[in-house]
Amino acid sequence: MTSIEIGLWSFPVLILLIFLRVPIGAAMLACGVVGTYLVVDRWTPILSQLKSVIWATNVNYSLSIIPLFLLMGQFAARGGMSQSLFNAAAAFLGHRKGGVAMAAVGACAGFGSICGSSLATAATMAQVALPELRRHGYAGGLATATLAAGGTLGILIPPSVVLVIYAILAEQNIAKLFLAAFVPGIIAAISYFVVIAIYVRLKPESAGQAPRVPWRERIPAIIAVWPVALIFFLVVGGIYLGWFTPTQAAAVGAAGAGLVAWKNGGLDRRSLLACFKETAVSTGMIFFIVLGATVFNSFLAFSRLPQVGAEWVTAQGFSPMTVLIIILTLYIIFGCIMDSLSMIVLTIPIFFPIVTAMDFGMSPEHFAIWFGILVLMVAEIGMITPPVGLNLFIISAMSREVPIRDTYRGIVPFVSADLLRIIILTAFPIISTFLI
Amino acid sequence: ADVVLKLHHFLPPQATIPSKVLTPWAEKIKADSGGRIEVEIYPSMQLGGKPGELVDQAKDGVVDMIWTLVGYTPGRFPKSEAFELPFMVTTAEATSVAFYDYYQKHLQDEFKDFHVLSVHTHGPGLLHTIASKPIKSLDDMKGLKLRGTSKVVNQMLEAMGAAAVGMPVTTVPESLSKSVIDGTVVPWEVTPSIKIAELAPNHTQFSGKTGLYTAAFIFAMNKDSYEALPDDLKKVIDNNSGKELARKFGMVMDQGDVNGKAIADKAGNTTITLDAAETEKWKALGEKVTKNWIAEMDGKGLNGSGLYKDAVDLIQQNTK
Amino acid sequence: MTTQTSSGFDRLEFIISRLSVALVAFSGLCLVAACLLTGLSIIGSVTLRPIPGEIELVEVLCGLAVFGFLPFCQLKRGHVGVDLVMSAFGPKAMNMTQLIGDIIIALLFSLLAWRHGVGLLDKFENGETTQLLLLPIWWGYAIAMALLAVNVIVCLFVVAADIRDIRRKKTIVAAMGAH
Ligand code: NA
Ligand code: NA
Repeated sequence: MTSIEIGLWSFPVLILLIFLRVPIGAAMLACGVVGTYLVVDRWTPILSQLKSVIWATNVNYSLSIIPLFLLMGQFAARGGMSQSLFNAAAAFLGHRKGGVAMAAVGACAGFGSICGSSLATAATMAQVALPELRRHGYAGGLATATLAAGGTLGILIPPSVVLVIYAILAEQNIAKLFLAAFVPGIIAAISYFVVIAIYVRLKPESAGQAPRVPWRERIPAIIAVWPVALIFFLVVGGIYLGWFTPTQAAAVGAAGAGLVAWKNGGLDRRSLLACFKETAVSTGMIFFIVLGATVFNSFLAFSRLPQVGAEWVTAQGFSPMTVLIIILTLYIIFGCIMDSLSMIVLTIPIFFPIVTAMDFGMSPEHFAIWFGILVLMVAEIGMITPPVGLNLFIISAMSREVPIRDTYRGIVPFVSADLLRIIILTAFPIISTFLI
Repeated sequence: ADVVLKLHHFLPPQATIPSKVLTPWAEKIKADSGGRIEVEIYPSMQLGGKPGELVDQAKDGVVDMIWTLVGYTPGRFPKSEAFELPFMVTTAEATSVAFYDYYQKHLQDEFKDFHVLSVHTHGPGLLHTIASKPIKSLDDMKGLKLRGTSKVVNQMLEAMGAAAVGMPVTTVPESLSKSVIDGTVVPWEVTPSIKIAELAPNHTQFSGKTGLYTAAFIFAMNKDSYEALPDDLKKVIDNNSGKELARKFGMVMDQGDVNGKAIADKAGNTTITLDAAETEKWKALGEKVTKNWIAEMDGKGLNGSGLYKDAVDLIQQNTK
Repeated sequence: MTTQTSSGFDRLEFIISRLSVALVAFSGLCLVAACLLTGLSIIGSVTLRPIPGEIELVEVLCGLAVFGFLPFCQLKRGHVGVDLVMSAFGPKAMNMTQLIGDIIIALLFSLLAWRHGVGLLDKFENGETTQLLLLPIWWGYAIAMALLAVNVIVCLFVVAADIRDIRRKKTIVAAMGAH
């Protein structure tokens, strides 16, 4: 077998392993180890690489941001910030048709601005908002779907762990990517409002209404979210204004969220340990995926497949837009069965060189940022597309009385809104790049 | 081709050394061997790892050849650090040739894990600072946050009153634009690739023949990969390595310095040349760093003063 | 967890779980230390000077935290796989594939630990240090080695626990990490 053929064969093998439920990091690592051996026909190179790869992956200043962001999200969840966000959003929106669900989305957006993770946002907000939604007579499927979709705002609105990984893989500036993600993230939140508004008008029986909250109660409710505003300003503002490097900002944010949680009495020794445990599971999983991807990608480079593949695509003379649309469609299909992070670490090293070699009529940096935002959006749909959508799973796990079928049905309008948004962002790159 | 050799390095392919030395070198090897050797170049750490891991990749045979900065693995090649001491470097060409001589005399043991193709240095490194922090005298160094490039350079910056900050070169432009750091040291050759003319428009250089510092580079091959070649192909590699290759690296670096300086001048940047009296103050502080280094080498049983003296003499001999 | 009827395996489970949680606490404190260090360095940066070697210290603290998180992550079956195909074959197939996945993870981490150990010897011999503080790299490698060794033990234990659960016809539950 030529090395190109070995490179090509690695994909069916990888997919087979993934279907056999081998964790994705392990599957990529195993394929990378065996693949490198087959390509170079000696064990030395891969054995030598393994001497330093786990140290180099874990001890890496750019990646240090990830456990810090995850810890920040945990502190924010314990610090009562999710509750105050929901209260504030509900004070303004609750009395409208579908208003409690809109408030849940608004609170998700707010929480997303200080949490880098989609699942953590979904799970945290669900704890607060699910009981409220049910209390106000919202149908089970609408309630769970709203929170699953709202959870994706955790990653669409900066800070965002997936964007950090993209920035590292594509060697782009994290601060600029965060800034670029801001407007598309807000559009996502607004589109979810619209989905809910239409949904409750078509099916009025699926939602109840909360009483109108007078202004003298709205003001304190909005003031109560100051810690969120402060942390968001410190983290995202601090990165953008150049006060901090992204990793410093994550450390400052984690410290700030920790202080707020401690001050609000939500951080005794026991809950501190609980925060660490949650962070441990997520961090361990992410770093193992990154480790597996590192070895797998270096195997692909040894096989020369990405290079030959890029040359082949270029030689076909497809228009850049065609290639882009094919890639985005592939992501949406993969996203039905894979999680967003694995998908990105697996594919960016292959797709990014192909598309950067093409002319989309903009500077390389603008293109890289636009492409990053598009990839983020399509990858994030994967969190809420059946059959495998981690947000759907976690919300279902938290609301056992709602059958997963109802959640699957309820998510359809949200996924449609996502698809529409991706079409708009693809057609108008300026939405993603004008702040840069 | 009978033999395919993988050459791995950390720079993008369009940078000076890859485009002006490594690629032509690979082509020459191919031509001289009648197409029997193919050198495949993998830029930008494509085959994985951080730049600091390149030396191990060559040692262990992950790849066949590497080109890298010796300073990426501090502590590992202590005798090479002599060339990074303050106020040693003259031109890149002369210093590179001198470094090759020094390698032959002193570094055979330090580089025993590799088949060394060549070694070299870059031209005189200097200080580049943001618009609000020009360095016109030693006093201006106090409290500046400056990025250093190696262990010895960091020690030198600290000795001169600045706070040395360690960060990868790729993050320098962003850090400068946000004043996370006040400046960096690099030779002119590197300045265009990290937008120094735009972001750090003050440049401080020194009077006299020697520049502030330089960095040592190694271009090396895995020993087994070399030994596995038939004699006639070994000869092709041998004919294209050694002192003349060191000179070529140096010449290209000098030319790169000229280009980098021209870009800064065209952008209307200020280049401050400290006068002889002021330069002497800096040299006095530099000597402290040198003394410490000599003591450190002596502590390792490596005859620090002998090494230092040889390095100085070789550079002077090779400088016209 | 230990009861009057506790078997040797239950006692082992207790020890393993206490050990993993202890490492989680260690790692969490590493992260807190990284936050404090960063905060002090930022304060220093606007007043006097940043803390020397802030970046290399923060990355080592965060990196060691990751090493310390790995055993707990595996104990909770945190390295999740894609359930799409196998869930259709029912809980028995899910349990068997969980076991296969955990065996592969145990093999891979054993391989990584072995190679990391060789890397540790390399770093010990070649005297490599960090850039600014000149701390020997092998110190960090050695701590990581200890954490990786615990991880391998936990991985092997998880394989044994899978086999026990399959024998008892219990469904193995995987944790869900957030990202
Ligand atoms: Na977010
Ligand atoms: Na999905």
